Amino acid sequence: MSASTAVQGLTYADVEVGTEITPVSLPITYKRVCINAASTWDWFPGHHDPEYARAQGQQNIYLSTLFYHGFIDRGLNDWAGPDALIRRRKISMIKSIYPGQTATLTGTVVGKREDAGKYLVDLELLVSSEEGPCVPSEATLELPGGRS
Amino acid sequence: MSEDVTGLGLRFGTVEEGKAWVGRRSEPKKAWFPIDRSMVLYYCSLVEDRNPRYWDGDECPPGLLMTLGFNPQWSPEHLRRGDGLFALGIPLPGKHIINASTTTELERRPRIGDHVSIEEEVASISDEKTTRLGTGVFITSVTTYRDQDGGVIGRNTNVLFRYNLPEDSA
Repeated sequence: MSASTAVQGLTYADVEVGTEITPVSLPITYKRVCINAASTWDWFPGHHDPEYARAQGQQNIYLSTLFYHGFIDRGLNDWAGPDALIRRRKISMIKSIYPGQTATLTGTVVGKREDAGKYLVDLELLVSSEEGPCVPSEATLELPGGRS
Repeated sequence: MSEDVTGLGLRFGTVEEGKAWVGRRSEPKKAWFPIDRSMVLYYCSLVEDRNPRYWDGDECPPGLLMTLGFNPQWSPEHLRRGDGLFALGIPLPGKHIINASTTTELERRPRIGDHVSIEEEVASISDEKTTRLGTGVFITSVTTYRDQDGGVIGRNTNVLFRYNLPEDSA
């Protein structure tokens, strides 16, 4: 990506169990939910048709799986830097997030391990709204082992 | 038995008919387009991701992998393909769907120019369960994303709840 090989962001040695990631919040507007559908090609009607969403048992149109993927990855790379590689990410959607609410990502390092020469950090994450926990998640990041 | 109100190609049948699909695997499906920069940057704008690997480099956020399995909303008849999302073609009773969970495992960073092939396998279908949304089954499917050389980029294990509202069956 660049001529420099210097590590951008955190290394394995920089992170301790219990470290909290930098929280990230985004206001969820109608526009953002529309961008969600358009940018991900996810035209399932629950994400753009309020009448369908309500018929489905939802309050309104709501954010999609692909939003949470991108939002969580953005938060992790904001915190750990662009060199951190997301090896695994699990999201569980227990409550939807609707226009007018705020999506907030928080998280904590729960483990560190070396596996086959990779430096891995395990995190527990949560995307929440004003209504409480919405998307409990977990991730494993591969971090550079040390500064070059 | 019911009609597809999602427009995504849901097929309908009994739970037993659906369970017969466990273990079935789709034919590899080539994404309509290679990953391109406009897709990447529009997705980054959705979540306000400033990662220079995407804006200045040639990498693609892994969250976009699922997008590559979606077909255009319209195409000329001679180009139409009958290869919607495999899990939605399982004959089952529910007329609604909502994603419950996704686990992504990444072998390498996806890049602009990757022309991805997608292969989906039905891993399990639960017995009928009732949640706050309604009554239905959880479909677990495993999707493998390969590049143009056959190398695995990543895998998604997806759990989809397919259900009816209480009033749907009244």
